Amino acid sequence: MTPRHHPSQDLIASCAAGTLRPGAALVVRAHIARCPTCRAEAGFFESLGGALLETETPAPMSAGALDRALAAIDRPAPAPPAPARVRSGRPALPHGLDGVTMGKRRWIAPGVTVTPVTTRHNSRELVYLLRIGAGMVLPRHTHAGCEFTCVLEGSFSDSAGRYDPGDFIATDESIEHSPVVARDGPCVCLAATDSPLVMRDLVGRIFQPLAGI
Amino acid sequence: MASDPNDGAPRIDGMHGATAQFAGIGPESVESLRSVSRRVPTGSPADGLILAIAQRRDREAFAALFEHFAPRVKGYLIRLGVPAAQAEELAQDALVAVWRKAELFDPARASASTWIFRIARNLRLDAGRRDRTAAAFEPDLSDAPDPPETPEATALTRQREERVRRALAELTPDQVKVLRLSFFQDCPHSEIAETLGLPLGTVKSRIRLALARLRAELEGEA
Repeated sequence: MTPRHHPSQDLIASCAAGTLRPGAALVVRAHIARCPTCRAEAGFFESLGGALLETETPAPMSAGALDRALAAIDRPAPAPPAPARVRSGRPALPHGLDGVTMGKRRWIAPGVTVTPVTTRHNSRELVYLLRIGAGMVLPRHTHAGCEFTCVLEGSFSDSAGRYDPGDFIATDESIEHSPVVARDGPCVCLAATDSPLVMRDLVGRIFQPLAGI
Repeated sequence: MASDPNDGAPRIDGMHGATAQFAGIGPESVESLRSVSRRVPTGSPADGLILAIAQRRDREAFAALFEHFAPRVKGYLIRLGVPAAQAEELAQDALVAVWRKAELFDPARASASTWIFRIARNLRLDAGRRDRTAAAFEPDLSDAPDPPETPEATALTRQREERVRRALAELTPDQVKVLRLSFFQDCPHSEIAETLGLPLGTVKSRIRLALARLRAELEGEA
């Protein structure tokens, strides 16, 4: 099944241009990997990038640049880094995301775990995998900052609709929802937020009902 | 902050015809380009150069490709605000990566300029990494084979490349300039308006119009 919830055209364009923050770009790419429509859209913007590069005003290279490049291609390529160790039980990441490093899985509440994801770029974003057990209901909450989410496995619903693997969700302070995970299995989402408060926020929103508030 | 080497008229002159695209390089290189593209029949001369590198480690082809693309990659990076010295280094790395990754180039999926754009874009994103040298050569998203597409989809990919190129050539210099600022620099529209001394509404409508024209061309309606 192809996704029904898509990133905006602006997000796809900035992802293709390389101007989107890296964590957000990771989430957009997780969607694109499963969505032929958005893959074509990203392809369009990359073609535009290529055509704009072709017509870019050349900035002259310094003297001897070509000779240095010719010397460089004679040298052996540096060995590629060892592939990241795969932790058992880690959900399979979609095509193209295997370069990321997964941190230690943290237990947040019964049936809920968070695994931090490190992108290879310097960024102040928080990127994580959120795994929520089958049939669970998250208390009603809003989102600090701008948060992007892509469903990797399972599905959940809120008042706006149902989200299946590949579906993309953008939320911010203005969105308040109470997601319900489908009964037939846990839901794993990849999420990126520009707000450092999200983890506290996340723990808060999960523990709220447990604490009886 | 970022110097804009494109002040004045954006170059859209070199868009018609394959040879004209290489107007920036000397006659000898053009000649070697021609001979390479005769040997390797394909979409554009630059595609042929990359294939020549992939097939027989052709250093002449590499030199021609370098002369054409390295200064453009450098220009693109300077536009993004990368300091000139680092832009030069990254442009070097990008072209060396082209040599090393040439076997992965598939002209059915991307033109040379789009493929090189992706390499340069990813290198720039990786520029903050400590192991940047390794980053230049490790496989990344743009190398990963795409999920299998139908033959129709592959044919469309190639057509899309040609059409985007053609459509861009038909935009006015002003439209290209605004598009460039909005796409590469991710400038908010208000900033573009300020930079160009234009009303915000004009900038917005130019971007909208430019994208609409590209899309119309893409859907074969133009």
